Amino acid sequence: MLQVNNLVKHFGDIKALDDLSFLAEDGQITGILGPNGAGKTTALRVLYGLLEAEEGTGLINGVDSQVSPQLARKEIGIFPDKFGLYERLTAREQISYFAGLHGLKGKEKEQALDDVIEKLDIADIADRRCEGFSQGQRMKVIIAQALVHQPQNLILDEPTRGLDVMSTRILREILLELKQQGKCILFSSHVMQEVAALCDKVIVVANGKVAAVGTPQELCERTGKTEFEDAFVALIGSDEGIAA
Amino acid sequence: MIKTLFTKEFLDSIRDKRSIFAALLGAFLPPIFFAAIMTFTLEESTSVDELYISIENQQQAPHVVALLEQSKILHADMPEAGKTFELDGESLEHSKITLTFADDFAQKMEQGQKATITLLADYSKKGSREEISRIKTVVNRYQSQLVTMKLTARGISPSLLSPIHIEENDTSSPSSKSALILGMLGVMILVAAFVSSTNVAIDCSAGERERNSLELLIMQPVSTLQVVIAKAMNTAFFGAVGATLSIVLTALVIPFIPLHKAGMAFNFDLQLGLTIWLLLLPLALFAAAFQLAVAFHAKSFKEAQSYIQYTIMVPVFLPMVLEIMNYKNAALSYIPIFAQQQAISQLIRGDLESYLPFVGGSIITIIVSFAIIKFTANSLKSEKVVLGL
Repeated sequence: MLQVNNLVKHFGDIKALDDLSFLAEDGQITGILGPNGAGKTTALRVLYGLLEAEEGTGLINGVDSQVSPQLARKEIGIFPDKFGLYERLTAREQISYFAGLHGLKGKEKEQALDDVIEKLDIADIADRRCEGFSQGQRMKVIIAQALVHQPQNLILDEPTRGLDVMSTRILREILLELKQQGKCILFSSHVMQEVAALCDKVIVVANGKVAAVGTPQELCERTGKTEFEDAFVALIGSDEGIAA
Repeated sequence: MIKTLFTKEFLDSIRDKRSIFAALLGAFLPPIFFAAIMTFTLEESTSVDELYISIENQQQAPHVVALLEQSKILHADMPEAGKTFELDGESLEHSKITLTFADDFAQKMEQGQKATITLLADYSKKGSREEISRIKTVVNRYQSQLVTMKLTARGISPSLLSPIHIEENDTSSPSSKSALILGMLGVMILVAAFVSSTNVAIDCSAGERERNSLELLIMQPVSTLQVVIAKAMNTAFFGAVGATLSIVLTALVIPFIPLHKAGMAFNFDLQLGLTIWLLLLPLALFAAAFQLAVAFHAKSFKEAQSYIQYTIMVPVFLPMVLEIMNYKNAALSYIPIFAQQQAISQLIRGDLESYLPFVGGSIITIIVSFAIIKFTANSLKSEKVVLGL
């Protein structure tokens, strides 16, 4: 379970987060939808304990990530905003590194590695160095390293950016399977269709605030629109720049 | 945890061709550079080159010509154009000086009259004074031999001509002569510890951030202190390997430097090598901590490179200046870099009195290194440093 309460954060004079609160529950895929610069990444960074908020708390399975970030981070797998692979390591070494950082050792680690490599179907590239991987292959390696320690919570920051249709479908299948297992999945995006197709709950964020919360249907009904995209525009105000 | 972090850092660096190349360059260049400079300076200062002049009317004074030849002043025909001429297929430089014995030189000498030698040279040419004085010295020596013989023949003591005798004594001992040169050698080895690890330091800090993997690493359940310690260990490892190679290479090249030409003796033995090596290990850690701190605070790989280029002047030039001035102060033995420079300098000169200050200096170096690591770890908690803002 992931929860942020009343986050306030400034970058200089710009108010990035303005009393932002939301909750992502286990067994659900929760989407954070918002235009570029709405504060999605900032909110997630506060939740990881990477940034400090001026006010408010970020809780991971009830552990405050601002107070004990290391304990809190043990319970999450992260697919970050910007991800860089270690180009000189093989995919397996890369995943093994993150498994080690989460405290996996010896046989247990090897087993976890084999499992996650099989699950994501990357055995063919596992022993190749990451340089020269395609975007889709990179995405899979990052997902694998986020899942290798089997966290209860998975946070993905704009995961489908730059992915082709096939890779996006694979990602979608993985997320749905994790949901079946009762994991908590939080994912941010500015792509409407993706969120509408995948999420049980959508949190619409604009200007560092929550503009609306609900299922995609509820949001459409509430705004009286038939298309989710129109509902989104209505929710965040028509003057906002959005990416379809 | 540190083991996991270190293993990855090490794998990442050892597969980076640029880091390996830079480390090797850092290790190999200083000793080779040193050996080349030394050999060049020693050859230059001890050997006398052949001087080619035109000698006209040689048959008038075969003795003088023979004496000139003994002093490596040789005859060559004046080249028609330019300064060079061919001799046995080699292109040599002519000094453009002409020495002419008068047509009646032999006859006048025989009669005991003043005989004339004409020296034709461009006095404004660079180095011509030295060449002319070399020729004059030979002629004067011939002259004074002649005078001595003539006076002796007349029963007069030649010492009447030189009532004062100047006795020259060179007080420099072989070891003090070599001290400055060998002190420089110590500085070169110090530099290796820094230069060998520079690329690794930048690559795993500013480089890792530029490749977007630093942020993800900091988001894992590890403390920034563990991250920085692992990176410092890896960086220090490269610095230590560089310094080790540098010491080994120095030991190998020293026999090839013609130190004996300058009357120097220096024995780079195993014990000296090992002692220097032990002194350099804490320095490698310091170099790693220092360069990581600089690189983490730079915005990009390039910026880190230029920062380090400037900051590295401190450990390179200050010891060099101290070495040239031969400045000694007990307090210096307790400051990182200087402690090592003073110790190595004294070890090489063979006038190390006590190891105590250097054990203290090494411990202080390690403590300071950890303080810098702690500082870097703390600054990694700031979003500015992590995100490179």
